[in-house]
This record gives sequence, C-alpha cells and structure tokens, in this order.
Amino acid sequence: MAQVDASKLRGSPLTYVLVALLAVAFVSTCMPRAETLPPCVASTRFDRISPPASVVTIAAVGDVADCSGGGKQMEVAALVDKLAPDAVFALGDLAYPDGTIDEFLDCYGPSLGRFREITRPVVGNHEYHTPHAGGYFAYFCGTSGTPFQGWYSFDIGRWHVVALNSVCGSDLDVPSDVAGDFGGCGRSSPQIAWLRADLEAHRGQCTLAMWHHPRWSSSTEGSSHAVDTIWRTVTEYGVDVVLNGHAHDYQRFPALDADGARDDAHGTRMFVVGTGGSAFSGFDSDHPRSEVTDDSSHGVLRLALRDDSYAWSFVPIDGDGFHDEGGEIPCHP
Amino acid sequence: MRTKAAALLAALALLGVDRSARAAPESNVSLRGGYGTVWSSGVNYLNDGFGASIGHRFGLHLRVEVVALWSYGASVTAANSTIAYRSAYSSTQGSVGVGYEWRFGALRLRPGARAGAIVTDGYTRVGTATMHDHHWLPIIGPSVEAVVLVARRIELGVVGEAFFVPTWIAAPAAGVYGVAGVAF
Repeated sequence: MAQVDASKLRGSPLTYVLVALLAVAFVSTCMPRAETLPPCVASTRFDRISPPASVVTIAAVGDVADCSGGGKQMEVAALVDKLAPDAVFALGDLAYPDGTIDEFLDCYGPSLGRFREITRPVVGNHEYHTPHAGGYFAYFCGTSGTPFQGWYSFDIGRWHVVALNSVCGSDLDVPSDVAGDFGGCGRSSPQIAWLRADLEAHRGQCTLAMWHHPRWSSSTEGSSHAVDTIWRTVTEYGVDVVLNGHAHDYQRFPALDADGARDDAHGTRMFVVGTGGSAFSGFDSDHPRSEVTDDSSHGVLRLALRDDSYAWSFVPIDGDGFHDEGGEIPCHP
Repeated sequence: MRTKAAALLAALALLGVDRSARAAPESNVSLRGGYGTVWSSGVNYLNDGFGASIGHRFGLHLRVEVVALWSYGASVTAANSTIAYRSAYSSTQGSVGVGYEWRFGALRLRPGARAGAIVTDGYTRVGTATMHDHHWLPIIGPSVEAVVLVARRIELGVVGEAFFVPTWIAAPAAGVYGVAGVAF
C-alpha cells in the first residue's frame, strides 16, 4: 500500500506555521462581534412639525444602500438633505444584501441613516436575510413597530399613516416560514385585524399606507399576490395613497379599486419608489393601469401632504433626468 | 465537443493511473475540522465546525459515507443606552454521501454527492423581545475529499463541500475542512 513517511511531517516548520494559522483563524471567527448602535433619539412625535403644520413634506424611497458597492445611496441622501423634508418614509430593503446590523451601520447609516430621527421605515424581504430582521428592528430602535411585528401607525400633520409588514412568505430569498414572526398577511391575521381597527378609528382622515411589496407592478418582480388582503383592506377603507418599494424603479398608478380597476372617486393611488440607490431591475411589460414608469433615475418621491389634499413629485438625483409630478388631489371625503 | 472529448480523455487517464480498481473493500473513520460559510444569509450559521465521518469503499471505487458536523455559527451584539440586540446561531448537520474513490499512490481522491439535513439553532433578541429558532432544512450538494495515507493506516487531508437548501433557493453554502482518520 502506498503511503507517506509520517516522520517527515513531525517537527516541520511548515506544520507549526499551519497549526498557528489555524488556531488564529479559529479564534478570530469564533469571537462574537460587538457593535455600538447610534442613540435612540427618534421620538414618536415629529418635533419639527409640531404643532401640526398645514403642509408637511415627505421624502419616500425604498431599496436603498448596497453594501456590495456601486449603489447611489449617497447621492440620494444628498438629495434628501437638499429637500429638507419633515419626514422620510423608508420603503424597505434598506441595507443590501442581507440587512445585517453591520450593513445598517456601515452602508445605510452614512446615507439615509443621517435622517434616522425623522425616518419611519417598513421592513423588506432583504431585511429578513438576517433572522427575524433583527438588524432592522434594532437599528430603528422601536420606531418601526414592536420588534418582529413591523406594523404601526402614526399621525403626521393632518394625515394618518399606517406602516405594514408585507414579507408574507412568498419571497424565495427568505425562509418560507418567515411570516410566522408576525402572523402573516391573511384575512384573519393579527396584522389585518390591527389594520382594520386602526383604519376604522381614523375614518374621515387623509390616510397613507406603506409597505414593501407592490400589489400591482410592471417590473420584472411582478405584482405581489401575497399582499392582496392588505390591498383589499386599504381600498375598502378608502386609503388615499399607498407607497411601496421592492421593484427597483419608479411607477405611478392611478386611483385603483380592490381588484386593480381604475376608480377615480374612491380608489387608492399607488406609487412604487424603489429608487433609493440599488441597481435598477427593469420592466417586464407595462401593467395595463400603469400611468408612469421609469428605471433610468434614482431619486425620491416628494409628497406634500396638506390638510385635505396631496401633491407629488419624483425628484431625481443630480445627473439623472426623469421627473414626474401631480396634484393637488383631494383626500377621500 | 472538444471540451467533452478532453473531459473523457482526462477521465480515462485517471482510471488508467488508478490501479486499485479491484482493491479489497476498506472502511475509514475520520475527524474533521475547518470553516464553512453561507451566502445570501445575514448570519453564517456554519463558521468554524467540527465533526466526524465513517466511510466504506466497496470494490470498483464506489464509496458511501456518513458525516456529522457541528458548526459554531456566529453571534453578534449591538447596543446603545436604550436598546440591545443580540443574535446567535449555530448548526448541526448530518448527511449521507455517495461517491467514488481513486487512488494515486498515497493519494486518495473522493468526489461525491451528499444529502441530508441541517439544523440551525439560535435566537434573536431585540430589547425585551426574543425569538428562538430551531429549523430543520434539507441539504444537498457535492463534495471532494483528498487524503494521503500516512504511516500505513492514517489518513490526512482536506475535504471541500458545498450545499444548498432546496426549499430556500438563495442559501448556498460551502466549507473546507481538514480531515484526519484511520483506514481499516
């Protein structure tokens, strides 16, 4: 039987070096990482607009900081700085690729994280690459809802805003049981029960809802059937505006009813704003109800929320040229 | 076409070099230790890992193996004066492999495929809210082991393996482990 002479290995300097390297590698990879979170200074109020003003401005955008490089999140942050909004609505997938606490601190932090005090986020599927989106919930210090649930509501100006968790278990990049964290998005789920109660309590108020996955979309990711119950609920209660991300592009839809048909009188206008810095994903074919689509410009959706109406404009970063604007649209009575 | 022909020639050459085709059946028991990593997951539930394997080579190169591996995984903490975050995950995997064994002098080369399950275990805590995890995930993937025979029955070498979780498409993982064992 062929073999190697073991005595040649014993006492060899190469053996000692190899053992030392292995020991160092073992110790360094086993050491728990300890990070420092920025202070939790975000309050449940928006101090900059207290008492409520007659108009508040929002910068809304999702799909933001790409830690693997090439993202435009710093340019988007510079744009937000220039717009000086009263609040930032962050529409999920905020720190690519995995939503770890390191990615939030190192990539999201220096970009849109500069506006963390006035940011109200929703959770996206990439946040769930980290178990239970722990990095996301920790980074936002509880301003993003009870940890592991991810739904909450607040008032800004005269508007009521609901933020929802749309990671309902249909994403192939996260474990299928992820929706178990918060009960999912079904008709009898705790989130939908809460949403109904919350919207019922704010009837008659201009209302905006935001979550990550768009019910209707022209992009390659397609329309998300998993959020159908959420969509039907917000249209049933006459929510005025819905903001989504997920698709790495900008899309504007007219006011739509529960089935996605145009309904100017009672429908809900929908925006997809996945233009926060990550690479564009492209369009499949235009959804028949789509009014505007663009995948050439990063930027943010600037919303002006007045007492009983709203207006919008998509503002691109320097160097990108797409622009879209509209309004004043009255809220549903 | 040219590539296929080259591959076929290489395979024939390997078979020609290996003169152990009719060698007696042989078993081996080995320990392994090394490093693995997971892509498209925010937590590397592999990391440093240790395990053992039992293999048996039948005549005509065919080989089966059972592998158990415990991986330390990873933990992270982050805190400020208001809130603390801690996440820690480890994993244990068990798999059955089927493959081939070629012998070139003292070198034994063992390409194969294996299937089994990985159990990830851990928790995530944000403030006072805690989520515990205990997940069974099926795994499948290729492996290649290369060992040299030292002092008649001692095997020393390295094994490289990769796997993915069929129920979670974006979860490829791979590891490289040193192997030390006994053949009998």
